[in-house]
Parts: sequence; structure tokens; C-alpha cells
Amino acid sequence: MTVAFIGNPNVGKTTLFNKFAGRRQKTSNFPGTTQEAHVASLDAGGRSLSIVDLPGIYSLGLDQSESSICRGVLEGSIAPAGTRASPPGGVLLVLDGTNLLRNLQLAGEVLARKIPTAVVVTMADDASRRGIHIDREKLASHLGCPVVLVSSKTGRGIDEARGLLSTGVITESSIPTEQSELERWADAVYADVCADDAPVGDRDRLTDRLDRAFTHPVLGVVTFAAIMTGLFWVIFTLASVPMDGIDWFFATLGAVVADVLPEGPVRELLTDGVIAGVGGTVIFLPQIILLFFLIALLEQSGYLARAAFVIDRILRPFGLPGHAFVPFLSAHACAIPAIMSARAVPDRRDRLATILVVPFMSCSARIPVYVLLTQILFPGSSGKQALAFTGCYVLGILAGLVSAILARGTMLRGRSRPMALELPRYQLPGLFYATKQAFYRGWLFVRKAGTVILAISVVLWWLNAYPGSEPSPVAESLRSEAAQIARAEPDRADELLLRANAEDTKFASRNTFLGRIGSAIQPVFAPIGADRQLTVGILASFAAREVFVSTMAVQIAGSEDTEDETVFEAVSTAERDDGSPVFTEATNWSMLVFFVLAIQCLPTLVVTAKEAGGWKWAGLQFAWMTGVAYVSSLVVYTVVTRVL
Amino acid sequence: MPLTQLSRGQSARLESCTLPEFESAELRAMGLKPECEFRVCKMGEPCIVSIGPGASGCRIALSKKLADHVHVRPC
Repeated sequence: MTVAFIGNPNVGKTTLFNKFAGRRQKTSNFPGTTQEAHVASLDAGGRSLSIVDLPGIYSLGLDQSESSICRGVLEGSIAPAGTRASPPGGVLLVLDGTNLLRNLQLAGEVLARKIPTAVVVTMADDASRRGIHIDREKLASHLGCPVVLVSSKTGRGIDEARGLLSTGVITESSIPTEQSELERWADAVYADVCADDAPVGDRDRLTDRLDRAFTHPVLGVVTFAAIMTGLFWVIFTLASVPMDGIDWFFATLGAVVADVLPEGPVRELLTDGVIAGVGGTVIFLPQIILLFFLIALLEQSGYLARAAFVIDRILRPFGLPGHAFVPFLSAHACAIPAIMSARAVPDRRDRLATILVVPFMSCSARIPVYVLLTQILFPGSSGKQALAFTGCYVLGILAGLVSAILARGTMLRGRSRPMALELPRYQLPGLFYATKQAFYRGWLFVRKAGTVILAISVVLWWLNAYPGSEPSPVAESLRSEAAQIARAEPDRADELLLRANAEDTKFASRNTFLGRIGSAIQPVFAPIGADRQLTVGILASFAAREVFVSTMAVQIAGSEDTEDETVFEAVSTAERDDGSPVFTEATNWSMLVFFVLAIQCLPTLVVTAKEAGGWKWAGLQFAWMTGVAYVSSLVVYTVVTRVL
Repeated sequence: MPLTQLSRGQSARLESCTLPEFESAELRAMGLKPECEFRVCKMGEPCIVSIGPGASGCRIALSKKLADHVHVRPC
């Protein structure tokens, strides 16, 4: 038998579900939607049950995706992916004891559907403390089904509630279905079962003060900026430790595999394709897990709903709602979870605009590219490097906001929906929920991005490795020179051998499939200053941006290690096929602007297609961002070339 | 009178909403239904009201654009 959990948002429904389901729960989606469904199997009262946690709703009758899913589940027309759609055998109605009057309206709507129902009133202790006294027997009599009062904090009533899962009954009470009559019914039930005449207390006055501060036009923005700075500081400081660990693990794994397997295509596929590809993706996992952990803490504390109004004031002139700030924030770690978090934006046009523009924010995959290019631009001047770095972030944000104005003024034209939000109570956040959210988001990232990146890495490796070529004539002559002076000048001989290897790499890279494609496509990128090698770097980074750095290093120096000073020196002083430098000042600025603005991340496009509801949106995003990046780079390249 | 003309701390009852149907329905489902009593916690952007009798109820924050279309009667 399936039991559906239904209730208003923020009533403790999911906390209750977690208490019953423990670790046995699975998360899937409702088909055709981005709404998550939590499902678990358990035994209750000797019966095997499947419990489903439905999204929080205010009413079954609203024109919102959450309400439509709940209606579909109760009617048996929709079910979580992987389960059969049929009307549930029972409903567990979860009501907030501190806000019973409004909750009774949804209770009436659900009970009128004549499905076996049991009722759990949460936050019972909190209600008592606030002077709200609920008569359980009277409530059960009005609703015509069993009622339990629970407190998740103390555990009171939880076991009894678990026993109710399989013992819901179809109400025999007469419940009106017309809206005004239903509201009058709820008022009458409330008046009979609740004694609630406590005046406004100190706690409400404190909440008033906090609300005024957190949504104040100046203080609210300052608080928000301080919290976000702290959040980023924690992410970048704490994540660096596990990121170094992951980097070390994959480097060691690659070395071990290289030692164990004989030289050949299988070894190269595993080390340069599979391990490098997976490692390059998984390295961003700590940042993503930390980001979602901290956002979950902020969400539970009650602050996030207040912050949404602060940001609404800033984003509204650009046609975006305050809800978009979590996606905008998340996108600075990675666009994939950011696009997924745009589900919280209620209006479809607002949501689409958010999804389309968040990849303009500078994600952590762009950082290695920014580091390389700013170091070449301003060698030895960390102040100027930092300034250019900050400029990249600002340029990304501005491009996103301007694109949002254009999108909302053209294809997503329409009235922006003003915000109305329930402000949840301030409370201490729960670590279990935040940890669960963080790891679930991390897993989604690995599953969605990892699989695509892995496949692309293997393809890129193949294109970059084949067809193999003979050693270059220049390298051959360097080697024979090294052999002649090996005894007399061993240091000079070693240096010649290193140069020979680099020559071989450059020679081979020209003849691989990727090198040939680069030569063929180079004329397209020539106007923005790219030669054959930079074109290969740009093409390779369409799979994932960070690949640019390693691709340039491999092509030019024959090593991926750009932290090695000789490799960095080789890259920064690399020459084009005609002998002129690869990285001129104009090329550098042009490439920097291109990498800030271009999308260059296939997993992001895959997620956009899924979340926005079609590949046309992903295609539009790709075309717009690439077009903006190309034109901007062209302008920068032309201006810098003429000025300098 | 519009909700935006009340002052902080004042209590009022809701008379009507002159908003598109889906927005009125949402506010009504959130607890802002005709004749409901509420207390103004903050004016401006957003306007925050605490709905419900006594110590129970909930807090709803409304952007000023919405609050302009919510008509109330002070009590």
C-alpha cells in the first residue's frame, strides 16, 4: 500500500518522513517534471508500506506545478519515476500546530477526496509554549480520522504517528468543497478545537526586529553581502583541502596504472582519458557539496526567505526575481547545480530567463584559465592579476544581467510576477538535513556531469592521440646531438632531450585528428587572435573549460603540469607556426574575454535542455553565449591591437 | 484602504484583492483570505504581515506591488 505525505510548506513534513524512512529512502523525479519525489519502503503495523513525500503546497486547487503533482498523485494519474501510478491507499496529512487555522483548509480539501487519511499535528510543543492549546479528541471528531500530536524535537508522538500510517480512515464528516464555505468550516473547526488568546510575545517582537533588519534597503544588503562573503570564504578555504586530496588521489592512481600496464593505447586511454577525465570532474565536488550544505543551513535558519526580498530589489530591474539569487550564487561554483536550483523560481518565464543567463557567472572551472591568462598578462604583479581576476567575475555578472533584460524584453516578454513568500520561523538549522541535501546534490553532479564529461574526455583523448606520428626530424637531430655530448656535457644533453620531447609533442599535435581539425577551423578564430594551437585549446574546452590549460600545455610543452615553472615559461613564450608569439597582449585579453563569456561546457547544455524543457533552449543558450563571447573578443582584440 | 497605507504595528482585516485571479488565489491559500485579521510587522518593500488569531498563524512578506492591491479595514 502507498501512503502519500501531504501538507503546507515548512510544516515539518519532510522531517517526519526522514524519521520514518531513515536511510532507506530513494529520490527520483515525477515524470515530465523537475519536482523531486522521496520514496521509501517500511513496515508499519505488520503491513509493508511504500511512503511518498509530496511537495509542500498551500492548496490542491492552485495553478502551480507542486499543486498539480499532488492532485495527480491523489487521483492516481502520476507517480514517482519507477513506480506504478495508482491512487494511494492512504494519506498522512501533516498539519502545523502553530498555524492550524490555515492548515485546516488544505486538510478539508484532502479529506473531501475520501481517501483513508490519518492526521499528524507537528510542532505540538512549540504550540503549547506559545499558548496555543489543541484539543486532539475534538479535532479527530471534526476531521473524522485519527489525530496524533507530535514534536520532532523531543520525539513526542513519533512512534504513535508511525502506527497511524496504515490505519487511516475515510472521513464521514461532511466537508464543503466551495472555497468560501471551506474557509468558514476551517474557522469553525479552529474555534472549537483551539484555545489561542496569547498576546504578541517577546519572540514575535524579536522576529519583527530581525525581519526589519534583514529586509532593510541598506542594512539588509550589507548583511547579505557579509553572509555571502563568509560563505564564499568558507567554500574556497575548506574545499581546497579535499580538492588537493582528490587531485593527489587521481594523480597517484594514474601513476599506478601507468606502472602496472604495459605501454600502449589501453594504458593511455585509462590514464589520459578515463582517470584524467573523471579526476577533472570530481575535483569540483567538495565545492559543490559545501555550497549546498551552507545553503541548506541558511534555508533552514529562515534567513534565505528574507534574503530573497533583498535580492529581488537588485534583480527586478533586470527582469529577474529574488528567487534567482540562489542559482546566481551557486553558479559561481558550478552552473549545473545552479540551473537545477532554478526550480525554486515559481514563474516559468522568470525560471527560463534565470536558466539561460546563470552560465555567464564565473564558475570554478574557469579559474585555472583565468590564472594562466592573468599570469601571462601581468607576470610578477599579483595586484594587477587580482584586479583582472575580479574584472572577469564582474564582466560575467554584467553579461548575465544584460542578457536577462534582453530575454525578458523579447522572447520571454511578460509581466514580472511580484513576490509573495511565507517567512518561516527563525530556528537553529539541522545538520542531518543539510548533510543529506549536500550529498544528494553532490551525487546528482557526479552522475549527470561525470558521465558526460567522462565520455567526452575519452573522445577528446582519442582525437588528440591518433593517428600517431613518427618522431619529428628536428627532435631526431636534437637527440643525436645529445648522444654525442652526453659524457662531456651531461646537463646540456638532458636539456636537449627535453627540447626533443617537446618538439615531438608539438609535431605530433599537428598531425592528430584534433590538430588537423584545429588547422581547418583556425580561420574562424583567427579574427580573435587564435592560431592553430589556441584553436585546438578552444575546441577541446568546449567539453569543459578547464581542459584549455592542459591542452595548451600538452601541445606546447609536452606536459600537463602548468605549475611547473619551465612548462609555464614554455606556454607563455610559445611560438606560432610562423615564429610569432602565441600569447600577445591582444590575444591574451581576447582569450580572457572569450573564456568569461563563452559557455564551453557540454554538461551545462545537457542540464539546460532537461530543466528548461527542450534542446531548443540549450541551443539558444549556446548560440547566444558563444556569439556574445566571439563578438566581444573580436572588439577587444581589435581595440588592443590598434592601441598598443 | 490599500494595505500600504497602514502603519507598523497596526492590525487590520482584509476586505478584497484587486489582483489577477491566480495571484489572488495564491494569497488566499497562503492565509490572506477575506475578513482574516493580521498585524503589520513592517511597511515598505517588502510589506510583512503576521496573520492569524493570537500567537498562532504565519508571516507573509508581500512586494509593494502586491500590497498596493490588497484592500483592508483597520481594526
